[in-house]
Amino acid sequence: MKIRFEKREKLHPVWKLLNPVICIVLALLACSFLVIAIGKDPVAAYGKLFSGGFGSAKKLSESILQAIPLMFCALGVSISFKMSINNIGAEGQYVMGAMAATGVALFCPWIPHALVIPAMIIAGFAAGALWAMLAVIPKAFWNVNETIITLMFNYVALLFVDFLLFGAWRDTSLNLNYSPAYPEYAMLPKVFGTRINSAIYIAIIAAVCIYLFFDKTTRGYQIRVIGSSVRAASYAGMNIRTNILIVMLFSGGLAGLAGVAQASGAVGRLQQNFANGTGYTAIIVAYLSKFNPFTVLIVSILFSGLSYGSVATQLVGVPDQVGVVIQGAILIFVLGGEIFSRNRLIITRREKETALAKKGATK
Amino acid sequence: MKVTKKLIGLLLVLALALSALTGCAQTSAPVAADTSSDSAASDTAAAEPTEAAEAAEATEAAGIPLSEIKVGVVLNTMKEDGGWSQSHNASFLAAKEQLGLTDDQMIIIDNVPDTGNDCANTIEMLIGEGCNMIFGTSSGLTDAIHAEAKLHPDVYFHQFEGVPADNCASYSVRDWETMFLLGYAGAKLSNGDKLGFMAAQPQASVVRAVNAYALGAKYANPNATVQVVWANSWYDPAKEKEGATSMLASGINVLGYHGSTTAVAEACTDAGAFMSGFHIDMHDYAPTAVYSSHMWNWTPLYVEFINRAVAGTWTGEMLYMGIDSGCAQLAPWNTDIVSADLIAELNGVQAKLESGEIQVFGGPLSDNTGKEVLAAGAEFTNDQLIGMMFLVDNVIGQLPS
Repeated sequence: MKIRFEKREKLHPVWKLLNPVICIVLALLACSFLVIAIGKDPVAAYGKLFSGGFGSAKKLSESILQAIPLMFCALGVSISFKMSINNIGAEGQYVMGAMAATGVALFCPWIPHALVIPAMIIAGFAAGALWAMLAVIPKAFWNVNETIITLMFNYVALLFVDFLLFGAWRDTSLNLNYSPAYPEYAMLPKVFGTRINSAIYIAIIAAVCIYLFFDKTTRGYQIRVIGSSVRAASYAGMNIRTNILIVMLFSGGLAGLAGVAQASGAVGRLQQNFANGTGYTAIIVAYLSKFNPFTVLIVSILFSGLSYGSVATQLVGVPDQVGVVIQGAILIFVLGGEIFSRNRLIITRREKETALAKKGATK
Repeated sequence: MKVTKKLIGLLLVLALALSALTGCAQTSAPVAADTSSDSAASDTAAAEPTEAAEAAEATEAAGIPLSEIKVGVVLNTMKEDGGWSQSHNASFLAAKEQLGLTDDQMIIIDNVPDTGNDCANTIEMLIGEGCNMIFGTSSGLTDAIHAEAKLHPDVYFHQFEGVPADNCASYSVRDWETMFLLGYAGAKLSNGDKLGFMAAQPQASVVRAVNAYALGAKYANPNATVQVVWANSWYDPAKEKEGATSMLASGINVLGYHGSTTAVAEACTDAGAFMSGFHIDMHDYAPTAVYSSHMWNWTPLYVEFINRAVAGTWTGEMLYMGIDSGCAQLAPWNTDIVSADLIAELNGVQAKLESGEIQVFGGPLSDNTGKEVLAAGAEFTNDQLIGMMFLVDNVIGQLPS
């Protein structure tokens, strides 16, 4: 027996839409065995999972608030992936952005209060961008694998922030490895009468800009070409090196903004283990959204809603680890479903095979 | 080049738009803040007269009827972590049992990260489920608890070792009373004047335990000193074993302990030395070494808070409970190590602690650099206790600067 994939020529648009829905349902069905195995009702658990994240305007607003840093990281990651640059350093760029914003908020008293937030945004963007560009200089000049370096830069960034929080920046009035709290004027205002902060606007504007950049500018076109074939691009005379640096400037900068948004929008200080894995979740979100900036915004909210909802599953006695399993299952099923929708699975039986082989032999 | 210029132009427009956005929105923020603080203020204003009425005669109207109490709990690690969160989880369940609350009246959410937005998020969910009493059991949750307390003035908040506010109480256990007894027993079991102490992070809660152990040892033997070694981690078995082994090799035969691993128990068993346990009864880790353990029991505190809410006497204050209420507990003395005479003696000391005759941190106290930290007859404030960062004069060792 032989199994192989054959690429489908055309994909019906209805099927394109239906595919992720079917995959999510299949993922939930698969996980329901796990829920049953721990002696709980899967219907009740899934009810809580979804109503916990999206069940009311209030819960939806909490999910959106939780999604904001994820949006920035995923937008940043998706533009580098578009050029086939594997920036998995969003986690580090995120904390570097948060660190720079904290530096401005706490240790630059000479900045007029009204300008503190714009200065934090610029500093956060710059710190994330710088951290990302540093990591790809070896790639740009000597073609060193960027995946490993961006990953390693995460640990350096996290430990550097730890170094500050255990020492110079530590709030000595607390018994925790936290920076002092931000002054009121360094906090982003809340919007819509919810706990959502105004960084949501920046995320939406950024998504629009990314869309326009890739669809309407020559540079955006170049980056897409480089993403599909570096050789073709360099034959066409495109400067790969400059494009790598430009892409990482924005990729890292956006991840840096995630740090600003979370620190000045939600938490109000810098903490140890601040990013909590958001930079890695962003990679998943970027892949699920096929690097489309608007899809990134929606998938971020879906993902945050699921993780918020998995806290709610505890209300019916299902541990939140199950929620994490469900998230993972959805990812595997949706990405796996991609393969089946793009390709046709062809299984040839042994007899047929031998028949075919015989046919070939007689020819 | 043209594209780059266009891009820069676009960026500038974006930056301008951003500053405009934040500028406009900022004006609305203080208004919102004002209203919330106003309502908090009016809430306390309303609470005070009812409190006075309650003092005169217990009225039902002042509090929340027991059947309408709904408790929401946020634990920062897993329920079954073998230490901190497990003790809180068990205490909440015991309190529920004691007060006869139904299953619907208590929601415990575990594994909520200290950092980021998750705690505030979870509290919003608990309040959405109808909880009117919220408990945060880790000091890392303080920020979120305080921010949420401001947003929800009608809900009673409780924070482990936090800063009390109008609708936010704070609580802790006087674990130094049990540590004092363990230190006393340690000095009696020791071959010489010098004892050891293997400690986790050099943070205030641990520093207090080390000091209390040393003061207990000094109460038993005025010449007793305590050598402290820090693991600089909440969980590092290798470092703890190394520290314990080196102290035991120097001739010390009794160790105090503040940590969550089995490493020190193994080291003491190997060396034939004695130790005190922490968090849980560590007897099973090392039956020939552990002479007793400090154990947490938060039930009396939780029952008290809920009772106060029902009676209408709830206030946002710092509440400590100790050995007298059973919050700080000792595991049974190991009779293979501790003689009957010594147990009788220890019971006498315990009675003095319970009656208040012995104040563990009573003045005069001086630190191990010779500086006086508490004058004779003076007492520490809650803030000083929560933030204790000095070692008493018979401790040999240092704190990180």
